[in-house]
Amino acid sequence: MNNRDIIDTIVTSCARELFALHDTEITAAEEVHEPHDYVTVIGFYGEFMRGALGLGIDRRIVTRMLEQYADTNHFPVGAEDFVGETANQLVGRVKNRLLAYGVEFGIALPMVLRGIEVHLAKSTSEVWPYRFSSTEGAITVWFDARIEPGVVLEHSEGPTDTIACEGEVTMF
Amino acid sequence: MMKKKILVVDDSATIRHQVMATLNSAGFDVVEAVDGIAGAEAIEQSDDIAAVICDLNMPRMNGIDMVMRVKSAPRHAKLAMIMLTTEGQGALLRRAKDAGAVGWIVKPFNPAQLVAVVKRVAA
Repeated sequence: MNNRDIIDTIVTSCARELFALHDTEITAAEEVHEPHDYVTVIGFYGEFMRGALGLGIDRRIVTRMLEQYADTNHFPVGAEDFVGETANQLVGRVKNRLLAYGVEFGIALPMVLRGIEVHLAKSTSEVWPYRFSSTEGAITVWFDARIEPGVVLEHSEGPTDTIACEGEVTMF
Repeated sequence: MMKKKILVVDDSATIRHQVMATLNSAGFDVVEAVDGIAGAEAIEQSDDIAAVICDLNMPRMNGIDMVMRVKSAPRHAKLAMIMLTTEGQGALLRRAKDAGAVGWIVKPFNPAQLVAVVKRVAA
């Protein structure tokens, strides 16, 4: 597999896994449903790879995902914060998978874009879109990575620096 | 009997809310802070925090730097601090351990596991 194939597999599986945890099944979609109601972007930076991961999501999906917290009222969870945290968990998952390919990067804070409509360019070799649909609407994830020339992602057969996976507890 | 007080430090209101709801329902009193500096200040101004749940990537001060700052004060040397983050990189876990954290949970967390961990370290 080439770099693009590897990233495609990782981003797609990470998105499906993460939304499944919120009881939201998403499937790959061909249709473009933009702009989304919520858009958030998180930068990342490393020696071999840097760029940003974006998440666009429809309001009805967010509303449904937030319903599971509706029984508590300590303070309301804002939809924008929730979308930012969802993108944060998505890029964290992608990072943890890429560690097995010898790629590590730092993660910036999520930035929720407001007051603008975002449409992905129809054709570009550098921004890789992943479109999904659920019963409540559409989701777009895009991976905008600058990979250093000559870097070829190869899965390490030996031990990696990924110690803890999502949901795991490690006590020191 | 006094409820044990747990501090959750995270810039995400979503995570603070989830942790608060989980621990409140398990009988803990939960207070919150939005970044590492606010978290450190909350600890320094209080003597009754039994444990801290702390994010890693936050504005102003990250979680590991916050643990180091808190642990540099002798009166907080034994305060149990647990990292709650999306990161699972070994180098970061080792840094957190060296700073004085007692545990690491990768988001999203399992509520029952979180309660079990907090009950263990806040005992």
